[in-house]
Amino acid sequence: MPEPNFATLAAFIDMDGHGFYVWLSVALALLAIGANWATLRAARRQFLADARARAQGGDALDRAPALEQAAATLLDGPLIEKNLNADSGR
Amino acid sequence: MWSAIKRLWHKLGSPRWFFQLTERWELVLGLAALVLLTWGTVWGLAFAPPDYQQGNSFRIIYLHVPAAIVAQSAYMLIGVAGVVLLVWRMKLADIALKAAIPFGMTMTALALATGAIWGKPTWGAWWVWDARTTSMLVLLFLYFGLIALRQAFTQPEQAARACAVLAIVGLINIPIIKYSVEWWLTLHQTSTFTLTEKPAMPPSMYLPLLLNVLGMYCLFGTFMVGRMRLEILRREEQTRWVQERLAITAPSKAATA
Repeated sequence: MPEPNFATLAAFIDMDGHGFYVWLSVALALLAIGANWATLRAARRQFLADARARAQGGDALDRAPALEQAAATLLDGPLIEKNLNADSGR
Repeated sequence: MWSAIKRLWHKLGSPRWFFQLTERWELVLGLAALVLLTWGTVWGLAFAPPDYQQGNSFRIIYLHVPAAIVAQSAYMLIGVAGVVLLVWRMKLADIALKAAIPFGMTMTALALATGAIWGKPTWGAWWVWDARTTSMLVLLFLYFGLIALRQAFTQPEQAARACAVLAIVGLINIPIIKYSVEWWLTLHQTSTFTLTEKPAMPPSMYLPLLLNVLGMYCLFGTFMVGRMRLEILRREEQTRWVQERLAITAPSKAATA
């Protein structure tokens, strides 16, 4: 690699009066890359959060038949008992 | 050789295969991009000699040219993905088409913005309706169009086909961008890089540019793979392998499925 083209840091920043144009371009490039990185990261996080929420909702639905059965058993309890009593009385 | 290509082609039909294949690509490409872009930019900004006519304002080339090259390459990839989608109806082609748009669009905008910034000290104007700048602006509108078109449809299959058609039609703009500086009398300089000729610049000027172009391709690969993998997870969310991958399925259910 050759020697640095600028003697001082101030000269490097100024770039013979073209510093504004060059550094503005550098800033825009960093902004463009940063925006891509941030949007991808945000989309990933959003997807994972949504997927987890859907999974939890799905689990609740999966449990629903079992809950319904439990509720039916509780509600029909006296009826079952009556049937059992009727069976034992026969 | 031919059978290997055929096998690879068939495998590309499986988003799951691609997802597993690219497990570490994002990290490797990201690191390569970081190293190449840092090296190329530092070399170009601090060590490369100034241009004999433009002075230090020419250093914008180290950001402008890689952005412009990758913006066009991204669109070419989108066009090829469009052809693959329409002809072979490959799921991965639509995923690739969708994934390449954000980075391609950002790089087109960056190329236009840095071109305008470079134009001010060089041409004395931020913008000129030059054939090269105008055709690049058309490319930006094509990217906007692809995003808008996808959102205009409620059916994903219809959206994918419409985007593929627009992508293919838009390919006509790529040779126009490339040859605009030769076909018309423009303020914009001729191509910095060609595959057939030796660069007019000395190695101390074009080597950092080459590093940045390679780095920008690696960066494109990083975001492309990242977005494709995310899109695969979105589309295949209901499949068992994604459910297991996300570890959101109850173990008993996963075992019995």
